[in-house]
Amino acid sequence: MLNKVNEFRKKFKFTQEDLANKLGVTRQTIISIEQGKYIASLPLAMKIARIFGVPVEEVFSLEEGELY
Amino acid sequence: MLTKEELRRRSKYKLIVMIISVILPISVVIIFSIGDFDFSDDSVYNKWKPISYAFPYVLLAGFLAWLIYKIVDYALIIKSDKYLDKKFIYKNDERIRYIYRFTNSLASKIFIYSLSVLILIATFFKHEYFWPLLGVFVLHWICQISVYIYYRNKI
Repeated sequence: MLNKVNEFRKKFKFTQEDLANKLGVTRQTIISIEQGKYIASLPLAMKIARIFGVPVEEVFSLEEGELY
Repeated sequence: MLTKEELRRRSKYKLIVMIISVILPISVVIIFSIGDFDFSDDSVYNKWKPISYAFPYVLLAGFLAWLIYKIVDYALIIKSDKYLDKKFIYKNDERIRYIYRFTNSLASKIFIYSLSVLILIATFFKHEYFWPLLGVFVLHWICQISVYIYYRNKI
């Protein structure tokens, strides 16, 4: 799973702490998502997309091998 | 998902249970201290006197300290909004919940709490079962901590 959380976060000038507070998660969760170590759940992914005002698939996308 | 109000309400119930849990063992110790309770006929404990004599009480003190920590924790959740927010985030953080799914399952919780009660009973009544039970308890905790550290670093 690929994600552009880091990219969007920087675009919106949020710190990891800001984003974590908005989402109600710890900063470590944001770090793990950005590093691709942890895959956000669907509700969290939708919340992230809503904060950035874009559809979920703009922030999260499947990798080549994950399509089928 | 747990809401803040739910967390506060549950903390109130847990606080009551915890306070009773503290009062109960203290009462038991007081009752046994007054009564004629003899440790001397146990071979395992005879070897290690007087440490072995004090050990059940040290264990009980540790258990009480943990209960008191939980009482303070629940009281702070009820009293302080800032602490509630912090706890709320920690409780609802999906990454932590995901890790706890491996380490802190309900079955594991029931096992460890039952074992704790058995150890406490064994320290006072059946000394020959104490060390094996304590061994299982420690091994279980080592496994849990290892799995927690592994997943905390992995994800």
